[in-house]
Amino acid sequence: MPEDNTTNKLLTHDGKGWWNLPKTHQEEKDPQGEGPIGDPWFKQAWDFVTYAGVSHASVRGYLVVAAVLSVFTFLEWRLFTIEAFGASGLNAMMIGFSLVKFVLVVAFFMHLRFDNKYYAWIFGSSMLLGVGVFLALLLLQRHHGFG
Amino acid sequence: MAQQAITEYHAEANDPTYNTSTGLSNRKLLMWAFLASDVMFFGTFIATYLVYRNRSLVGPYPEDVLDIPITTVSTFVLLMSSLAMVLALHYVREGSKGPGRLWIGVTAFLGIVFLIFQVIEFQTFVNEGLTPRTNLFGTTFFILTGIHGTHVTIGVVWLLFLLYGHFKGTLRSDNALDLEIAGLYWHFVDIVWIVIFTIVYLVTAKDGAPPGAPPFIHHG
Repeated sequence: MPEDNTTNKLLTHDGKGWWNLPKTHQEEKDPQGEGPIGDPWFKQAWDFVTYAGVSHASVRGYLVVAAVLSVFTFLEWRLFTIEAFGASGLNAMMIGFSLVKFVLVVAFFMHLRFDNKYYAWIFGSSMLLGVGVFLALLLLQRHHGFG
Repeated sequence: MAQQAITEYHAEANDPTYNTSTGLSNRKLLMWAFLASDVMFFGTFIATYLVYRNRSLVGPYPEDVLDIPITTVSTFVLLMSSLAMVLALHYVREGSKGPGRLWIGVTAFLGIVFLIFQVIEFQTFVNEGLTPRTNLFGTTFFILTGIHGTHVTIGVVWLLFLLYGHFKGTLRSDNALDLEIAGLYWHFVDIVWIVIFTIVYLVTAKDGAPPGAPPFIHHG
């Protein structure tokens, strides 16, 4: 079993502090099974949260993700109830929050960030196809209508 | 340490049980393929909802019935069920029987709570005059959220079977993949709801009567 010292796992990677991680990913071997999401600044931020993308999230990591999901859900409700934003601005923010929540659940709870790349490609390509179908339907309706 | 963690986590790649052409569990691959197809399935229903947005000729319209605070709570419940699911997998994999059992049960319980919210919401809408036959909003809303609710119901039943299996000893740390596959399904249901909550509830909740259509007057 991996060492279950979550504080140690959060702050270090292979014995090095997070402040002492390799500057670029070319400097370290690509960890086996690492997902394809994010590069390069996004990947570095990801690495900080996920112990440099090598080991899987700990219980503490899951709690952090759940807290972020909760805060975003609360913000969605709060922003919806105040009238400070126009409809398009509000919609853009809601879709942005939704996207972040979606990515967090897929990457951490569904383990796609840490799992074999093959799974990520299957899901990612289906997402592209699904979004394509979605947009095609909307464009079809906009240009031709459905009666 | 970290390499050991990833090796253990991705045991399927090294396990002779998964002596497949991909080196991966066929069952897990099948679940991902199913989820990929489900993405398109829900994608078409969500797109259909938007295509028919503002096309209802009679009320009730979204602004007359949708209750955002209540749905925010049910969304929170479903998100927390996802947290419970990953904790359940963590502890079952670790071999901790008590916490594993507890979190599987919590996941199923929160799923049931979400379903209760949905049943109450549907009942409220029907009382206010919105059924699947009332208008285009009703048809697309009930089909989309109803199919999602069906997915949640299947997930709850699946989790209860796994909980029973954990009590019987058929779900253990060495075959925690059974729970992981159920978890993938459960989290997928969660991310679909994240999209539905945004598009159906937050983005379109203020839609009233379209131009030319009469406003809805509640007679109840």
